[in-house]
Amino acid sequence: MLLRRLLIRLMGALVVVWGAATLAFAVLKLVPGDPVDVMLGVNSTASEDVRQQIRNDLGLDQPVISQYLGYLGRLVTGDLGTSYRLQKPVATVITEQLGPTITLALASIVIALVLAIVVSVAARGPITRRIAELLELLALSSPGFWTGLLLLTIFSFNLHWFPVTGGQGARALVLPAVTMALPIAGILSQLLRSGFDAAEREPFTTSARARGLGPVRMFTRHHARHGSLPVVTLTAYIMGSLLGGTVIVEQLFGRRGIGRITLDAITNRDLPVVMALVVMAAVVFVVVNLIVDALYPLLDARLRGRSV
Amino acid sequence: MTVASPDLLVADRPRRRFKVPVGALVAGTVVLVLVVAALFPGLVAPFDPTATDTSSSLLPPSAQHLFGTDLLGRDVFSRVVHGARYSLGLGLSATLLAVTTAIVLGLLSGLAPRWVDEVVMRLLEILLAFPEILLALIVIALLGSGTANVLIAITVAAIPIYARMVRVTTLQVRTSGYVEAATALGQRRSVVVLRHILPNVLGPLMVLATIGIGNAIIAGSALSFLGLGPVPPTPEWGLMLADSRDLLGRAWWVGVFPGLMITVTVISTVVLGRFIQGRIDGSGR
Repeated sequence: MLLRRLLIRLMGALVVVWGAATLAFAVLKLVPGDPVDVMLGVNSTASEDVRQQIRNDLGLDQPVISQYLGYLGRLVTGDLGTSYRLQKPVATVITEQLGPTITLALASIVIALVLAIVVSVAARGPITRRIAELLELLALSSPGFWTGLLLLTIFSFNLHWFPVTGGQGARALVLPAVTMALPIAGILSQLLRSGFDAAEREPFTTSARARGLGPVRMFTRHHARHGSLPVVTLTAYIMGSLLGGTVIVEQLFGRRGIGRITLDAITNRDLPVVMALVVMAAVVFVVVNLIVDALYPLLDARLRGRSV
Repeated sequence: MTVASPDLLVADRPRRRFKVPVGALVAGTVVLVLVVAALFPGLVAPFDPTATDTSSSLLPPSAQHLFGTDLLGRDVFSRVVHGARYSLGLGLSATLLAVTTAIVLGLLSGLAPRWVDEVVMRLLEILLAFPEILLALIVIALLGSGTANVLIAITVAAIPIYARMVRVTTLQVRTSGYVEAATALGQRRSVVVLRHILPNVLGPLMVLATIGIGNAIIAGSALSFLGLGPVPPTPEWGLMLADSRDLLGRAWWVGVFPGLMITVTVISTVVLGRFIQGRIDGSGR
């Protein structure tokens, strides 16, 4: 029973990844103009022979359907193609840059979680609640490239606490991570607060209170668990917003990483890299969702043994 | 008792049944000012947004230059005012385009045969797997940069969320009593869709769209910030922020004010959106 459910989930996940890959391929074929032109640049003076040679190398002279099947086949074996511009395998390009981005993303998640928990726990009174609402709105409505610039102005240029740009050390990580964390913390805090409010109204709260459970135990044993459920649901969204955030933040702070690669690939129309990133984003989304599904029953006993 | 005079009748009415909260009032005023700035920037801005004057480069905020001047001596306040046109225009038109497309897609998906619904939904599900900004970037990768392409990119990125909402509402309404009654009375399908289903879809969609305008504004200025949208010397807010990056240590005002405008605009649309939502479904305070 459990195995069957797992298989169905996996199939669904594969369909999404396959769909994303197909979409990437279809879109690539829809690009106006000759891919060879894109590769060589508009002002290239390459002869027709050279162009034909490139077409042969890329398999562009094959019928579309065999190009598609070949592309899927290579994808399955982990071959993501070759970057037009860098003349390196796309897989290498991406793995080289994965480290700094993962570090940044993890740091952002930790900061966002800490901020959200502190704010949502502190906002139990009527006045602190208003303040929390205001802070959340502010965090959600400020674009990352602006908060980043503000943080740089204050903490790097005026207080000299952190380096301005570049650097891969822990000190260089603080401002970019905070920049990415703020909007996420805003959403998380909103969710946590409404989750705690809902828990307050649940019968189990009344019953636990009747048993004489103190506020601290009440929070750790019941409300924290209950309130964290909607947050878990949103994990995939948060991963996505991190992925989008890296594009801006890495550019702003002059960091290396996936976001930088994405922007470079897009401005240079390096389509194999763009396609690989699309597939990668789909894989991340699907894997995160699978993990979230597995986590639910651990957090909420009511969901155990039920096929959702 | 004599017949009450008209004056008394008026006085009997509850005077202010709808108390508009201060936040919504402020937000509405801000949006109004922004719309005026976008339509008639010359009325508000004291200087030409592109007129350079190297003798007044990087002046701090003063009575003459409210937001100071940038490296080329342009008045930052005037540029911010003129920029309202780009950011608001982009956000509004992208949202409008996305909502229209979503209505068509969602209604089609909710009413068409099962297999059409399946195909559209699977497609949307795949698109929903991507963060909005990444979708927009993919579109830019295909079409190239430029203001028009940024508009298309933001529109495409916003469609899936709206379309899903239209479909869900359509499915809910389709099985409701009045739709069944209309169908039973022999009304044509197109009439049922336009007269009974569409009006029900529009309400929640408008709320989502009002809040979505803020998102679209942020996305648009983000793409401009990355250098994928309008080109200098366009006074677009995101672009102005990108230009201010090298000046942070020397002239904070060049970047702080355009960014502040984005945040204020987005907060105002969100607050207004929540207010309208409260009006519609009664969940507001």
